[in-house]
Amino acid sequence: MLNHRIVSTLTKYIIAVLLPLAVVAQAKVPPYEFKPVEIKFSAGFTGLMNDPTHKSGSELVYKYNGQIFDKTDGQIPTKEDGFDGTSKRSTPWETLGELIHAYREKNFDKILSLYTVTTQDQLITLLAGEKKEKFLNHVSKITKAKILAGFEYKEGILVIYESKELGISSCYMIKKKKKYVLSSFNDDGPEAWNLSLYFKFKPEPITVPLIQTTVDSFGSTETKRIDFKLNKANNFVTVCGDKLGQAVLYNIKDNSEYDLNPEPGIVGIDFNKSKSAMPKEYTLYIAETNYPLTMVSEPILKVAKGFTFKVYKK
Amino acid sequence: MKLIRKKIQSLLLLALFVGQFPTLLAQDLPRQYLYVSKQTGQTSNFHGQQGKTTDKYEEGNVTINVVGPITHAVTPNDMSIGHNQTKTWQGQISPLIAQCPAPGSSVSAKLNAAYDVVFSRPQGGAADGAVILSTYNCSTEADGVNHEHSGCQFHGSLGGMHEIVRKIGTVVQDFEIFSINCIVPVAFNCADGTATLHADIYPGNEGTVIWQTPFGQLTGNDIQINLPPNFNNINVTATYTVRGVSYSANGVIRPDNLTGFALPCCANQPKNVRDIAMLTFDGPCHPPVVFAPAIVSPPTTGIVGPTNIINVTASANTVNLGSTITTVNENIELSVTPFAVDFSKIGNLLKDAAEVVSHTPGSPCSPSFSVTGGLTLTTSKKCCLGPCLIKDAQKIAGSVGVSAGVSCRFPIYGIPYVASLDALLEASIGVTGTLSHQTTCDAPKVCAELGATISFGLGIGASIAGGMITADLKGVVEGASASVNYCFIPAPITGEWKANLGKIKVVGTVTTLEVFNYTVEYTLFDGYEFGPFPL
Repeated sequence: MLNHRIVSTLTKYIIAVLLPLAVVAQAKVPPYEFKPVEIKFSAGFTGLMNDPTHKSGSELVYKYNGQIFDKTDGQIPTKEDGFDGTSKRSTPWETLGELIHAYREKNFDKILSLYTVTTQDQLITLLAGEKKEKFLNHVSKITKAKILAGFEYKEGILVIYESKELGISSCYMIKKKKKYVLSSFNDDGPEAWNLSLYFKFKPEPITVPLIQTTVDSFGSTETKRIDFKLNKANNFVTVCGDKLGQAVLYNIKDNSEYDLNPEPGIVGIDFNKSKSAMPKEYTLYIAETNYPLTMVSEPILKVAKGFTFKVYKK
Repeated sequence: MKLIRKKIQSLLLLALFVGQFPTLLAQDLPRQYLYVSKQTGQTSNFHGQQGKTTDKYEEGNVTINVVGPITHAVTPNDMSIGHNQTKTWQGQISPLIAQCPAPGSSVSAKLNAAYDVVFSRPQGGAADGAVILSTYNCSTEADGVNHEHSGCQFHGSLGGMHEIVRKIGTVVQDFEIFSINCIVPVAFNCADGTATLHADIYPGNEGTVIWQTPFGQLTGNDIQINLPPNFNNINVTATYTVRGVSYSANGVIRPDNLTGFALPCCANQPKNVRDIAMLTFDGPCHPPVVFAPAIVSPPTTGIVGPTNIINVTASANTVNLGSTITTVNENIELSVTPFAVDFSKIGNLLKDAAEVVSHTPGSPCSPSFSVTGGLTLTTSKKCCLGPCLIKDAQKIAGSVGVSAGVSCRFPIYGIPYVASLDALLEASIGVTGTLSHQTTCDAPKVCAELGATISFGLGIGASIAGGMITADLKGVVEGASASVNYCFIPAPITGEWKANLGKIKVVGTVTTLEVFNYTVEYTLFDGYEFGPFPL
């Protein structure tokens, strides 16, 4: 009893001394504040699954009870912030914080403990042998993670987060005994996939790049390099015809290995590389996006600018 | 002829039969023809005789007059008859030749027969304009007295009502009188020694033409006779005869002179010269022509070259003309050489197509390309007519198989959980064709469509984070087709390549780090048309 008192007093002392320091060093887990949210974006970019239920015109519109973090919010506290990897797991964010901490610590048992018993069995099977080591080596690369959004989805919570090292990821949580635990989830619908894509690209309005090269005409056996100056570096340049549903001719990401102009913000494309263009007049359309496009759609043609050149027989 | 005469004979006496044949009056009498020859003075005519016995009710009178250049005669001249009387008349109608027109024309005439007859008939006869003079019962006779054996054939023994009627009218018979003619043309038509004997005859609706020739008497118009070689003038006489009236004309078959002889510039098979010779004469009567040689044939394979110039003569009467023709053996091959076609562009274009599918020109592609088989170019001579020319013909033959493949890796950005994934596009095209195409006189081109099949396969796979993120995806291509056309001749070789690609979808599953499993299906694009591109 005495010992207990001494320990208790000591603890109070330590807390009293160290508390101000801890408040400064350890960031808070983001608040869990679900409310009705709406996400609306163009349905025209590559990778989106067909979702007629949520399609409105040329846009997809999703409405949930959830939480979307802006650019500065949603940071998951790290051990550098003073987070020790433990929480009450009373919000999805606390559970996710423990998961990221465990990733960094390569603590496989801790990782397993954050999942439902059923999923734990799946993970043990999936990561048998050397796969476990590979997996831990991979996930431990994470230094920081940020929650992008969470939604009430089916019987649980869909959480989408990202890290600089591993990109976008999504996980599913269910509440058990007032605690949120991770669970495997088989999703055969388009919603979660499309939302993840939305958060991957965060699509901005379509714009038109500037054609830097004068293109009036060139010979049918000549290759013509055309440079497009982007409004924003790292965007995609799309060159296409005007037939809806047809494949676009080019969709080149700035600074990718297929961008023939190494200067950032300028995409270079070789036209008539096979030197076998049919001599005639061509009209093509150009657009700039921050997401990939593979198919000609109405939103592109609405904004895209046409440019005409003639290929003469040579 | 007898039938016609009988009709006219009846006509003359028609009025007397009115009571027995009242319906005849309503008929239109067909026009009849008479013929005269101003050359011989001959005329055709109608004549005959007819008798009549009247009963106790019948009596009548007929008066005849004519209009136009015809005359009539009836014997006895009195054309009246009383009750219970028997009379027989003889009659004739003839043209008045002096009043008839010149040969080759006709004139109309008509005969009018005015009649006034009384006769008995059963009551209720046709409303034919006859005037009913009285009625009676045939059992009491017209005098009102009962007689033994009363009654009549029409009503039988019980008798019945009859009426005595008077009928007045006119019957008209129209005639056309032809002044016949026969004209023999100044020059007869003769073809290849066969003359056609033709006379222009008038009116030509009936009658015959008889020809008197040195070869005997021939009957008919447009008669063909074979003329002897080297013949001179042949006198002929044509006589046109219709109903005993004749008109004759003389003529001379005069051979015309051969003035021109030409042959087509070439022949690619044995030809009878007579069938291909182009002859001209200074008139319409072409005498027999003899050709030497009569048949021209192409040179035999392996003996001489592909062509042979042959001199041919054409002889007609005393005229001899010459011409030449070149016969061509089109089967003799002058040269056979391999025909090189650069099919490599097919492979380049396939790579282009693959790059469009991946939207990334310059993507690292591994092309493969092979050509099997080969084509040969064979040259020969060809006989072309219209315009006549001996041309160089070229034939492309053989079989070719082109196989091109390309394997390209390119990034797929449409996966949320990785920046991009490598996709592997494998495209292939197969082009095959068996050719045996030759230039023709009208089409100096050899163009052919080669069979083409194209296929695209898209594989997308990834295993990241030690297998925790998996993307088991593939591209599904819904239909692809291609066509390849070449024009091998004339040089330079040109071609066209085009392809159609159907919808491409990405399907499969993706599993995230935290075991979120997605069933994925999205469309890359609905389709694409490649080309056409020149080859």
